[in-house]
Amino acid sequence: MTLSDWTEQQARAALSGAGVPLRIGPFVARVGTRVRELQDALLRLYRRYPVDGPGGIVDWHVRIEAPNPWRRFVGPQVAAYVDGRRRFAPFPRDQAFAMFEWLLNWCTFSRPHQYLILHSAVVERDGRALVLCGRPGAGKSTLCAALALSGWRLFSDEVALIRPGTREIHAAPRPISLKEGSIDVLRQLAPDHPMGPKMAGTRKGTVAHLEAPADAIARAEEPAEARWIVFPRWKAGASTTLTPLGRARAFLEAADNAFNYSLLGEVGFTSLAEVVDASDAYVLEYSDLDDVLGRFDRLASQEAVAS
Amino acid sequence: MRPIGGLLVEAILDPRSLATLEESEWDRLLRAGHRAGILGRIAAEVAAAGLDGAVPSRARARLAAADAVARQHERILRWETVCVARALRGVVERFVLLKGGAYLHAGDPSARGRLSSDLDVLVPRASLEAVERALGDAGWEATKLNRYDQKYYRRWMHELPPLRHRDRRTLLDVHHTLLPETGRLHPDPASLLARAEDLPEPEGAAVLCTEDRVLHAATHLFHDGDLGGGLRELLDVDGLVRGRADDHAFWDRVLEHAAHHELERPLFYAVRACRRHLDTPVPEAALARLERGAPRSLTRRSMEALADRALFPDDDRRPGVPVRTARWALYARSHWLRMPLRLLIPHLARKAARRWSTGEGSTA
Repeated sequence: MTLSDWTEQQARAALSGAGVPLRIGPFVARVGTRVRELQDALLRLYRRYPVDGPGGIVDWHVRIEAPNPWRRFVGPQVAAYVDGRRRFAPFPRDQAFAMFEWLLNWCTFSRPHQYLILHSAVVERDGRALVLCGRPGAGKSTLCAALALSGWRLFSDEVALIRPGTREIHAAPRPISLKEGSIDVLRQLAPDHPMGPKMAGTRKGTVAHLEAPADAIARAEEPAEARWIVFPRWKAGASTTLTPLGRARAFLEAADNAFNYSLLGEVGFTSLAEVVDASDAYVLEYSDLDDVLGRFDRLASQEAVAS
Repeated sequence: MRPIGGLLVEAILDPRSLATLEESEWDRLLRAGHRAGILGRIAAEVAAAGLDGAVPSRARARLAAADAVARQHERILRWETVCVARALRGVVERFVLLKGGAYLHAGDPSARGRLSSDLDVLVPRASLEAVERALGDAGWEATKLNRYDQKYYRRWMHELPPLRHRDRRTLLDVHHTLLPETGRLHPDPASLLARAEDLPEPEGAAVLCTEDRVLHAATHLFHDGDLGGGLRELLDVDGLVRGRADDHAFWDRVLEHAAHHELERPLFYAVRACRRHLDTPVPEAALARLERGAPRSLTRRSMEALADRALFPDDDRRPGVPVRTARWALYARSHWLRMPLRLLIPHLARKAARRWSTGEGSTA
């Protein structure tokens, strides 16, 4: 059963009340808010997500509400609550959906230490995972969104969840966040694909979120094996170049990109080594999105030919 | 719906009971266990009982995550102990590990799955200056740099202001006695140090003898704060005595040390709470002698009522008025225990003024 199976009234009532337990890959987040615009965005961008049954195990209780009565009207703000505790500074009310997405990111980055967690986008094709590693601003979200809409299955635009001791990456697909110029780029690429509210003035400038493709959500419980690790770098005017990167270097860069590499200690080391050993690593320089998509298509079909 | 306290206690003391837990109970247990800081312990008990297969997969994942964190904290404690030993070589003959560091190196049950990576050590007061200097040279920096906080800790409390290592960002608390000098009870640090037991390694490291570890755990929970350590610290006390129910000589020593260190009262509260909530086995003779440390009936009953409310984490509902009142009362008590009124009132006024003017709080 997905959220779209409920009537709007039922869904809003649940969101305002005890919350709705949404399955996001391996996680269940009980989501609640009385903020109407946030309910609108959730009903739109999370409509395809499975709703967990009552009495199940919930990983995170997430609520976004006005912190006190007068903040509903004067300088409207919203505050975040995780597992009953208020967390972080408030956001302006018109950025409530950005706060929500940011909050779920925080939960995914900082808690599930049963995984080695990389700060990377991941997409999949034919059971093989492409990991896009890079600092914020390197363009990986844009690239991830383009790939997700061009025949690759979205795993996540923010995290690679690696099961320790394996090459397996697990999916936790969520709306893809786009900033400023990327919003227009993706609008051109996929003008009919549902997008969430466009919110200006956030810490990252203007942001909007692309709905996770239906296929990604439907198959969220299918993992894939790591195959390619790519460090993308958008550079104005650059032609598409995919330069192989040595494994040692790739390991160090990937470790640098991990949230809990140190926390996991030896397990972190051996897990990452397993994944890097099994993968081909590249540095990607590009400026033309279509060209890159073609390049990755060739990478994937080489793989198909070789196997 | 079973009370959350019961679920948590049973999870640790009888992990086989978890095999029959419903998912909705697991849901509450995982969240409350996280709040109480004992999820790592639950994970350890589940693993030790060979129950991984009987646990729902989502619960297994959560326990695995807590286990990963506990292992990291254990690594940190071990390494920090080595680093402190290196820094203090030649400066003090020995330094005594307290709390988590002690449980780990002494192999106490409370070390299992412990989620705490701050190191606490006890050194002779006479060496304090040299110790502070040596630690500073080795990279530990003072936190709480304002003059008032520094004075608060050094002159009145029983520890240096907390130190943070500049590279590793780990915290180190250096104590010279167990309770604030301005408080009403005065344990004897010389005796604690004299009876401490050296560890095989690292060189210079020691732990309090088991009897004194019991006293410190009891005192830290019931006399050095607002019972914030909660169930986790109560389990520390239980872990130290559970296997010794028939060891009358051991209990005689515990009581003797308690009398010597003026810690009969916190010991009384701790053992009573262990009996009430954890069914900790304690010899009758010891319980009878413990009554000597009992307060007046009204004090005793109030304290027990407060403790019963404050020892357990909240379930998902916002805590009701009784629990919030109990917490407030214990918070007030904790201040009263630390300093006489003539010092306490100006101290609290100052804290309030500072918080009001800068919007920042202080843990002092």
